[in-house]
Amino acid sequence: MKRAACVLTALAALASLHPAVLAGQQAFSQGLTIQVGVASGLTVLRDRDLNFGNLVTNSGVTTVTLASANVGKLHIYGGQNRTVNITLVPPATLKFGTNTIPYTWGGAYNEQLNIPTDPTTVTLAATTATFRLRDTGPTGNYDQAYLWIFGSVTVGAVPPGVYSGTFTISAAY
Amino acid sequence: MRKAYLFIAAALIGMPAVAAAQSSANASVSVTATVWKGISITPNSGALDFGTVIAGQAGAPTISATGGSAASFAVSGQGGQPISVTWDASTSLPGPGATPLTFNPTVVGNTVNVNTSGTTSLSSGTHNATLTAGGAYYVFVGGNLSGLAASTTPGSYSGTWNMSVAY
Repeated sequence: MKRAACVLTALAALASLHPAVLAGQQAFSQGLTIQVGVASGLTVLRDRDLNFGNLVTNSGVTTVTLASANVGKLHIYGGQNRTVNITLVPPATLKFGTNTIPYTWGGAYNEQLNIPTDPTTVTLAATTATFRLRDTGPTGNYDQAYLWIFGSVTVGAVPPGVYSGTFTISAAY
Repeated sequence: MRKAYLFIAAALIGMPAVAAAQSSANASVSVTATVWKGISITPNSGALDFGTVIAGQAGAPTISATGGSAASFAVSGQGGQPISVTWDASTSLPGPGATPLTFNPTVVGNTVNVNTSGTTSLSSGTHNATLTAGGAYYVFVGGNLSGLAASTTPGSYSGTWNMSVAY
């Protein structure tokens, strides 16, 4: 808002200078369009958690793929066509008390389509990535992109229970 | 000059000050896996033995699933969970003759290890039983033999009948 105020002040100064500069010349009128762009705040919203469902002790590796119905899902929305940098912090294990099962993370994003299996979806190779918000939001004044979280767990000889962890996604521009 | 002023004004309006605004946000996704105890089924009795039958006898030899000669199995798994008990619809029992006998099972279940009362008739299929809170269930098997005729060659007839359990 401070920058926007400076712009308006400058425009007012220009308007006050205008009659002096134009003295002795033919009269004319000039409309001036004043624009102020307000950037949307960046927001990351969780749409669905990642759930591996019910697994059995010693069942080995279970994978939730990008195409699975229970893949974790988020969307990121902010300024139109903005480039965002994201950082993922996946849990290394899922925990039930002091018991753990290993978790191997997977992630993917799509700048424009809410379709995880679309050919334009990009699978993440690292825990950081940069992409653009290209899908016009419902109200037209912000753009969004989509992010999916998946992966696999390995269940060995562990006690029955609900094993869980927290996968943090940070975004900035 | 007028053009110069307008150019400056346009430049001021188009300044990238707002477009370069910075922002950050974060969210978290919960990653969850529910681990259940493995499910198993263990014979609690020996073979289902029809004993000696007579070629050409009237009626099919039968063992009641709720009687003392029934075979029994104990199922163990995650307490309170529905399970699917499935089995072979019939089993061929080869013997010395050219024509085998056929075993046709009858299956009942119970939450306690008793088959003389409180049992439920089971059909092979999906989620046809539920484990107790302690993770137990009991299955009892009887059935009858078909194919026994006056022409059946005397001798020993046997085969393997299969039952399985799953969540």
